[in-house]
Amino acid sequence: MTLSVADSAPQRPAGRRRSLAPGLGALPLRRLRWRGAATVAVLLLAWEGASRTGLLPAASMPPASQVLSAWAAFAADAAFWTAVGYTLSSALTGLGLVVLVAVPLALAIGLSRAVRESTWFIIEFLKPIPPVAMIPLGLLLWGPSETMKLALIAFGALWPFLTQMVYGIGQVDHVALDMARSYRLRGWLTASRVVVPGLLPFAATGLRVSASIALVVSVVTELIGGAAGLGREIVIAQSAGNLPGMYALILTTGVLGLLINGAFAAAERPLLFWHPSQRKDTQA
Amino acid sequence: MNRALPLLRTAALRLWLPVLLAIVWWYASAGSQNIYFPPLSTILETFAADWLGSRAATDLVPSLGKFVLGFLISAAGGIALGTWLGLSPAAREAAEPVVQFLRSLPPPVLLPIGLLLFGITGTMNVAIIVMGAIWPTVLNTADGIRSLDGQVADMSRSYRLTFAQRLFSVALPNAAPQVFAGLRTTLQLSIILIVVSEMVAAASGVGYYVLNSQQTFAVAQTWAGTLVLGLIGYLSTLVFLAVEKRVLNWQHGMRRAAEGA
Repeated sequence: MTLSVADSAPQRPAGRRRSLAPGLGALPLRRLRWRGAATVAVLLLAWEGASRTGLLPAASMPPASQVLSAWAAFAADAAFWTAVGYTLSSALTGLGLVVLVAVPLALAIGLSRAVRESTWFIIEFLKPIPPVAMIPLGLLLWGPSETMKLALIAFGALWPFLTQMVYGIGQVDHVALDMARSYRLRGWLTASRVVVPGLLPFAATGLRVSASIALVVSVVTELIGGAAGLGREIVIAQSAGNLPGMYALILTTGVLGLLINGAFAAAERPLLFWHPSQRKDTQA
Repeated sequence: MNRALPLLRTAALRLWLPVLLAIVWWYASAGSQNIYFPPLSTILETFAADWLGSRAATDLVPSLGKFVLGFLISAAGGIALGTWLGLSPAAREAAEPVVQFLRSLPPPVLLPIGLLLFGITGTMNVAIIVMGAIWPTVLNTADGIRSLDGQVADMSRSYRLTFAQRLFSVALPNAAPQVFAGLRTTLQLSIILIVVSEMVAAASGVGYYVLNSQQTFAVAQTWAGTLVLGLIGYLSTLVFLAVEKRVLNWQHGMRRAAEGA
């Protein structure tokens, strides 16, 4: 057990979470130290300088100061917040759909070998299909509507959560289950004390990954499909030649991504304070 | 008594539902007058006529070429940058807010920026992939390099391994499983980005074909193109997993040994 891989091998959720949010699962802003802040400042200054001196074509990259002031102007703009609301609410509603679909599906797949083997090919085939590939089909069937958005978000964001849940069901501690049985815990107690705590880390990891995919698909359907939201605002700003606004909107989507990831990671802490993956930080 | 039997049963269990669904789709859609759901036979005919014929060379090969090039640049650049960040705590601390932000940015929003900087060119398609898909590999490589066990690091130093030896024989192999986890996300993002960038800004390619078919209400073509994109996603993942299995073979062997002990 000298290599850390061997250590992390049995508990896949830790490996999975690392794969998408390596070691930085918690609120990223808390770790912002002076070097990080300095880099951000230097980059903004370099951007400003390069754009002002014409090193970067000002026609494609307006100075940072203009973008930041466009951003400040958005803060007082009701239309901007409406667009943010559309994008966020679709992503979260889609995520709710994912949970509604995935939990019964994961239970069926995880508990029955017949269901697992029967659905294996379909799931393995659908999983790697890029959700954007479905946009034209979605547009054909539903037009640039909320339904189209939700269907595509649910399709794209389903897989990480479903995979984690199925894996988690397979990992429920059998010793603990046997123990619960010999202590004659009733169904409710077994479920709430053994099964749910066992599943929670997997569900949390899967949900966080699914949430960031939901945001991406939400923005893309707006960008390409023309559904209402930040993605469509980006296209509108671009075609109107409002470049500072366009860049400010793009930065906004990044901030939303940070916030969603941070919010789910922050929710994991109090829920999973007892789990080894949360203790690692203090050991190191 | 017969070892082939359980295997056969698994195969039958795995196949009956997909086969049934395909048959149901075939017969339910046969002679369909609904313009949104053309008969499966029409979709397959369109698929064969377009994608096994003329368009394979004009649209499919260039799309795949740009996708593979973009992925390879992201992979190489991501591993290099990630190694640097993994080795240098100062660089890591300095780069963290920027890398975190770029990782959180939904990659397709980079598209308008790529268009402004590069115009509608093949360079733009590749650049978009690199800008958007490199980050998972960067972060995972950095994390994998950092995770090297302290004893192993001390040992390799006391054996006076050179820096290159320590990097290529100790640190990178140790990081390999995490690097591959990152590469897999990079691969998925690369496919998404080549499709999106062709949809928005190209006059050829699979992505352009599908969205254009939808906009001109060529329904059978839309379905056929979606099928092509799905197959690209599926097959590239298969190839990736095969490569990963080969490269990480020693890892799996070690894990088995560790579990057996």
